[in-house]
Amino acid sequence: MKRVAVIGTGQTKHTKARDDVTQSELVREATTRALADAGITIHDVDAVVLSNMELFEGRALPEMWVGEGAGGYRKPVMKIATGGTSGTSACIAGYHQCASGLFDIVLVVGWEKHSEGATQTGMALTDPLWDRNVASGAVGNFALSISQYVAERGVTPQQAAKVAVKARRNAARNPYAHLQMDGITVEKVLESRMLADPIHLLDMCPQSDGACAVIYAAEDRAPKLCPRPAWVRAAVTRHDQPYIGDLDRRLVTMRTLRDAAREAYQQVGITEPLKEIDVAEIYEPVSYAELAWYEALGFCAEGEAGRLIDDGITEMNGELPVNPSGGVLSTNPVGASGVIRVAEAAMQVMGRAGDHQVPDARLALATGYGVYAWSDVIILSTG
Amino acid sequence: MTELLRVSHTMTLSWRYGTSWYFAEFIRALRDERRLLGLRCPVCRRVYLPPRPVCGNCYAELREWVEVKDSGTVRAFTIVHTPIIDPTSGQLRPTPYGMALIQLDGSDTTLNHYIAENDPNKLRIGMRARAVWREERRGTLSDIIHFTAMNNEQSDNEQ
Amino acid sequence: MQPINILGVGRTDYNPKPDISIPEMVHHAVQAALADAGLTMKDVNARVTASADLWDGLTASNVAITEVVGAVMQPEARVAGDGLLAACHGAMSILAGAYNVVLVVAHCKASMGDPHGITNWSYDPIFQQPLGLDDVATSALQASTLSLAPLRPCPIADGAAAIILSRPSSVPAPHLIGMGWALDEHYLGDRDLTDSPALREAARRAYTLADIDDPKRDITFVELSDQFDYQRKLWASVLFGKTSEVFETSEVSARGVPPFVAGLDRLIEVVLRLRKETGTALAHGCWGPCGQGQVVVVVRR
Repeated sequence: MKRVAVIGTGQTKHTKARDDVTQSELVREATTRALADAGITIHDVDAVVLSNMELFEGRALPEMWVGEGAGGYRKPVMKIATGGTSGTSACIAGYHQCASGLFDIVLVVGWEKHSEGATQTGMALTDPLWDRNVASGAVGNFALSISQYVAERGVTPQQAAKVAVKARRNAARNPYAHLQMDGITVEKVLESRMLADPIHLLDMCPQSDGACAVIYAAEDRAPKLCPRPAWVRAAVTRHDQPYIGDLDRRLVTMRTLRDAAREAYQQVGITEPLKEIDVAEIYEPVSYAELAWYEALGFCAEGEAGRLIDDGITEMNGELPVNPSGGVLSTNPVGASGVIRVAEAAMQVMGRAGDHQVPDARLALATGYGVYAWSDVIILSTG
Repeated sequence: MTELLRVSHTMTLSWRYGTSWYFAEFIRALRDERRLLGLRCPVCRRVYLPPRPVCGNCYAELREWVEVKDSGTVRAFTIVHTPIIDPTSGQLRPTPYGMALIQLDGSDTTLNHYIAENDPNKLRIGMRARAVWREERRGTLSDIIHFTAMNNEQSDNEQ
Repeated sequence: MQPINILGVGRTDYNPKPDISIPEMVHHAVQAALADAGLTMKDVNARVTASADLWDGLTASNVAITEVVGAVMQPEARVAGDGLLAACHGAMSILAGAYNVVLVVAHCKASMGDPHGITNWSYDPIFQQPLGLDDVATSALQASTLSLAPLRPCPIADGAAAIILSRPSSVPAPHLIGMGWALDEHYLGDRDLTDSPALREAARRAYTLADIDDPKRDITFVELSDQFDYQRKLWASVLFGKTSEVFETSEVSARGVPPFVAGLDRLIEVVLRLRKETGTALAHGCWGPCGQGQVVVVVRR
């Protein structure tokens, strides 16, 4: 078993529609940037792992066509797809492939081109026997979970709006982010159109076109290629039951994230997450979720998430900056969103996050979220 | 620069989903007897609705049918304002409309369904609701049109 | 590479199954594999599943089988590709030290949908999909380049297959000792359809890991996948030369194995035979247009 580090990352400028490129070219853009960041060429890549939610663009086996954009020609290419967690799943899979000793350099690329899909394909997201009778939609489903969270933990719409404001203001300092809104305020969020009570338009993530790539190197290569690699310290996955009504208060308990974090912290030796983690990139599809997950990740006690955002603890200049990149709330090409979390966490540890760099970040947390309550937790650090 | 072009494709695919004994029995009871059935796990004793072959928490096969009432407690709710396609009609469902997770009496899981209320201030977690059935049942969960809040008298009679 | 134990195997039959659900179908295969290995679900540390969304008519198609593969509050990864590829990934996660016992499951119900419609969506939307191509058409193209008799497609098949992998132990189970996979070009016109460089590359990688430098001498028998019966001859000639005998055991395309399950099913055939006789065998899987994706695994006892 080998230690593995991220030695380079690359992403496209995420936008509503990239009419100028095919999916393969989108992937190639992110791949090229990651190779440059890692200081290697495509010929140095031993294996490729792809992430994409194929039904969104209606493709049957997208890695067949798009694989070439990641240099998958006559190479071992594997597509990992687990819904919203595809990106983090693929990053964990790529890490395992590198740690196995079979491959020294592994490239992971996630992408999504929502502009090439149709929203009706979203119906195929739901179970065909039970969940296609009611017009729920992703936003409606989140709103249901949020009603429980609000009732039990007492967060206010203002506190949720602060999360949305933090995200888009942070995104304004991230050249790749989709929604960059320096002038956004809590009032603007609360005045924006109500999607499903209590979720306003600006509380919700967008759908973006974009790709993101991460390059892993095994322990004997990483230090030679990268002055400050981001070592993988933990990579934990938990899945959960399939129907929305199965889960006791999904956001309130979020048992998969809680348990994945517990195990990851144990593997790394973290006992006080708020103190010991320098920066976190959390996969937050809606503002309220980020608050719930401060609690699930142990950043604060249950019921304290509102205080955390009110006191600015998760702002860029706070004790534990959360989502300096702007998060999923600002950028959401679904197949790439999980990869972006890992890439951004790696960039922080590598000192390459530019205008949204958290000073002296040494230990970073990245999470993935998908389906109804699947969770991935990944921890990267300098040592 | 040369003008960029687009290629369009329309996907027309259909699937025949196999459903198994648990679906068949659930639908039979719903359609023919206006009864809702759940399956109880032999290990943790949780009653699951909708039914499925295995309890995910215990990895134990589910075999014991349990009758579940068509009224229960609201555990979550929202009012949807964004139009989305109603799977049963193929058209956009008119908004606003209420949705809830209802824990039917006798079940440990909740059922996702419509609730006939558009004012969020009139909905409360913990309130009682009952199903409103279609006149003629065809054998789908849409045979329940929606759930509606029970007033105190109705609630007491049920209990 | 360190050899990986194959502790148990299980599968359903592959007859069309219109009356059972995917979760129930997968449940049978998983139970069979656990029984064969003498394990309970508690012994399993992680799962790797293989399925294809467009064939299942469900986004994130592994969501339907979470409970029956024991993935509730547990790790699971899904490979969108052949089950043999999922087995390779499972093996890698054991070699990485992440898990000790991994359950690998593949499923597909080819009877659910329309193969023409579905496979048309696996061709790039710009140059190939508009031609109305599907796997039958492109396979006919490939067969014609080989001057082979009119092709006979695999009968429609539904089923699931499961295997359980573990770190090497004193149990004398067949061991996975080598693996490799690769993709060819996508655009058919870029490829030499009389050849399969991806298969050659996949095999080369598998032989390297298995320390095999003379496959014709060292490989005892072979189990090949095929979506159409002409493909077996092509794969065999790529692996062992044009004049070699094709010495695999079962006629896959004759009886029908579902797509995405076929490669894992070949591995099960290899394991079952190696339990009775010692030897070194090759299991093969392929997926995509004219076998654009190829995966090879070497097993020994």
